[in-house]
Amino acid sequence: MTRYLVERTFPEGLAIPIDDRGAKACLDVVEGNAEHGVTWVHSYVSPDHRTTYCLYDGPSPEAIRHAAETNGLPVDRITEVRVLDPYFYH
Amino acid sequence: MLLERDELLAVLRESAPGTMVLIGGEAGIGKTTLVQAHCDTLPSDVPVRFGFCDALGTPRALGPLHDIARTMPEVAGRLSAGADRHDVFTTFLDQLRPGPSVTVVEDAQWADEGTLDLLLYLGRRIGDLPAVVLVTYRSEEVGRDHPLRRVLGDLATARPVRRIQVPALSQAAVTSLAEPLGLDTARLYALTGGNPFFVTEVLSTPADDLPVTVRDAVLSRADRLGSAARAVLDIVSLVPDRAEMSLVDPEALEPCLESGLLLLEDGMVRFRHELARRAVETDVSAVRRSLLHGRVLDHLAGLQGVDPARLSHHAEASGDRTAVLRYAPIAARLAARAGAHREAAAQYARAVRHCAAAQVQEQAELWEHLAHECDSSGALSDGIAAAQRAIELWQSIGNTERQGAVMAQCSLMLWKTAQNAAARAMAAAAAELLEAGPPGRALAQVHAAQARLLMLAREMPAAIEVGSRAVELAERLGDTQTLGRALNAVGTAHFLTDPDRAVELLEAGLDASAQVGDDAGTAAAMVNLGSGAGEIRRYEVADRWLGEAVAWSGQRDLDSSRIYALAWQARSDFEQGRWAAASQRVEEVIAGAPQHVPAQIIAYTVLGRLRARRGDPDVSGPLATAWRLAQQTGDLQRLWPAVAARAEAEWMSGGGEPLDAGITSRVGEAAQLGEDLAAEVRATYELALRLRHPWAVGELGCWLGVELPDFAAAPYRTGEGWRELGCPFEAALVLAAGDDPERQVAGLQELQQLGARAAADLVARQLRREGLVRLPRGPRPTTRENPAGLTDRETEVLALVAQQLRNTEIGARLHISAKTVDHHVSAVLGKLGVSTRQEAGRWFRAFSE
Repeated sequence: MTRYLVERTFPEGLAIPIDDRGAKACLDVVEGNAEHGVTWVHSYVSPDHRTTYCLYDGPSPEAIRHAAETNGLPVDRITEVRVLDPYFYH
Repeated sequence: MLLERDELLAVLRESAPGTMVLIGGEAGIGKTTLVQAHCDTLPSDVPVRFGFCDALGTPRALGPLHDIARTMPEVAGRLSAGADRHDVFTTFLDQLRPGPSVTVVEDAQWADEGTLDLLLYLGRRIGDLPAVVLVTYRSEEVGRDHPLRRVLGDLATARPVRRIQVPALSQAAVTSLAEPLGLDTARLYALTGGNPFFVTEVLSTPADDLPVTVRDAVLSRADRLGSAARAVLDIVSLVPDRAEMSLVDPEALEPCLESGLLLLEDGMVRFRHELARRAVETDVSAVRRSLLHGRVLDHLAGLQGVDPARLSHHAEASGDRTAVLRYAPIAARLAARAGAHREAAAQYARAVRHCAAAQVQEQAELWEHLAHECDSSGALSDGIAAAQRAIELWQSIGNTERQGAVMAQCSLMLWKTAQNAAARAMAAAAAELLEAGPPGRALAQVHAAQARLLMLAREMPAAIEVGSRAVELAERLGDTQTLGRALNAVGTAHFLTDPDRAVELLEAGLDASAQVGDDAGTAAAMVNLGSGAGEIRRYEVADRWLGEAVAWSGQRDLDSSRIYALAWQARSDFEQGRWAAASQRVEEVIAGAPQHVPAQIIAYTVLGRLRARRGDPDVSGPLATAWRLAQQTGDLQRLWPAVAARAEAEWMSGGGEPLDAGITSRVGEAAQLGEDLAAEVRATYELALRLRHPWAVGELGCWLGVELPDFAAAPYRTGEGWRELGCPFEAALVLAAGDDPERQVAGLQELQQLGARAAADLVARQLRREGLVRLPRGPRPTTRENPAGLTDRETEVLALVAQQLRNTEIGARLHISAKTVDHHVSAVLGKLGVSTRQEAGRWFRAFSE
């Protein structure tokens, strides 16, 4: 599996309620991803809810695109990334 | 009583019509018993047909279908008429169409190539039939390289195909069987591993006589039947699958049947279990074994309608060379006609093992046939070795005609293994040899092979020159098969200079190949019509023929033609801006045919270019693979797209200047490429220049910034005509590279629409530098604003649902019927993944906050 950072823009903002509905919406995304062998690790969302930076594990950039299509999510940019943290070299 | 099989029986019971069930398990685990138990529960009017694959070293071609055809006169008729495989398969399918039936293919681990193809053919089409097909196989014998593995793999994704595994019995089940007999159940379980056959075999021996090994158990039981019965068992053990009853002493057969070691079916005798057969077979001494095989051979040879594959098996086992040379070639011809080329090759291989004492002429013929069948079944290195032996033998008796014909075939095999230089040398030598004598069929074949090799290397004028000689000669001699192949080479060679003529010639070649039933030649003509037109960007012709080629080869399971056409479809989709479709086809090619080098080169090239233009990661991986494979072939048609793709990727990552590099000729304004890559582009350009390939010269010349020759394709020379060709990416970049700001912005928008983010970013950066600040920010398809993918109408309906209005009220507001509203509401619930209107309403309020 390769790790990818997927940037998305939601012109009207992305609002996922913090309740059962929101949980269900997220689980639906997880399910849609699973069809393509793609795993959503987590996301960072800008304060205006218009831009998200989503970390994904997946077999290929094409799989990330197919999963986004299944889930009706936009894709601006896919970047392959590696983990680096302050203690990486210790 | 069947222990611990209820779940599996339920699976079989619930197999709807239109299902194939693959039943795996170790030998003796009870696959056949399971299938029998299931079939016994079926209504009596459902026909059940059994086909057996046999353990012959070289199995009968389509053996199981011959068994099945006993109650299918139509199929039997086709088989005995020697109809071609496709005809036999479609007849069989038609016979399954009228009503429910069960077809059982037993022991598929021994299936011949024809039967494997049949299973694949059935598995892909069973969904439309009212039939159920059960296939048993020994999973432990199907290793990684086993031919059945390919079929299992190919059917893995077919919806109507299910797989079940028959597990060993649990210790509890063994105990319940053994305990009443007062046996040591733990020891019995350890000894048998829960294998029902071993268990029952061991249990049916006297209680005080528990054998150390099951093999001993079988043998001691056999010996107790007396020496006459043991002689019967010995004979039957040497006849794989089933033996004619007339082979054995009927009186001595009686105790074997009573003991349950043997079964009688339709006048044929077989071991109740294969393990018992093996136990007996291995107990027969080697000397006696070959004598007994001789007896079996003599007996079978005197019967009517015995499959020659069986005779050939016993002939070899008895060491009877004359008989091998009599039966193996007959069995081989039958197998070849049934499309089982691997079995045909195995029969010829058997024959050549025993032909040292035969006439040289006969030896040469056998080696030649062996080479041909190896070629047809993809065993290329064996095929080349056999061809070389045949060439020597024909030469030794001075038969230049036959020697030359084998050399022609050998040259094409050499090309398929990427030994291009050796291939051309061989074809040239054959031509020299034959041109010394009067022109005949062999010379036509040699010229056709030469033309093909030249065409593949894009030496078009030479291909046309030699190919036309082959066409003329084949026509004069009435050799339609060679004519079809020759027209294919000549036609394809015309694409660069006279595309209309190319199509005309290829269509004539297609007709010729179809007329003589040359399936591979017919598929090749369709593929070349498609790929040849694609290479010069005539997409209408290309798309039509590639579609035909995929469908036609798919129906006949000509997988290699299908996958090559599919790869070309991906390239055509990509060049015409249908990127989602291109990406899916690329995936299928890469996963589906890793060994098909030309298709892989195309697929990896398209994948790399697609990622580069979209701005997706890992562009270099696929392009490096494509380039490595292309270099192996050394052919312009592979090198050019692969190296151009690498140039495009490097240009893009280096800032993308000039914007239309690689699309429009700008003398002296080469794209900045690394030294090594630039040298590779130049070397490929020079090859293209020498071969006068308009499109390769155009594209590579643009990357190098050289002045293009007049014969280079017009769009590269002028920057015009891309839109008319149907190439939106190139058209958009040409717009963006112009100096009219309005047109530049339009080009940018087109790139955004295509999803060419990387290219769009390059253009946007350049435009900003030039002072254009108000740039479009990218397309906004409605689904982007709406994560659930609702249409505008559905969103309207949902808004009103959220206000807790009823369908009639919503209908009144939107001026549509309540029924239509209901339809929209179901669609909305489905897309949101919720089950009630209340939930949908809450979702809407949450989202519109």
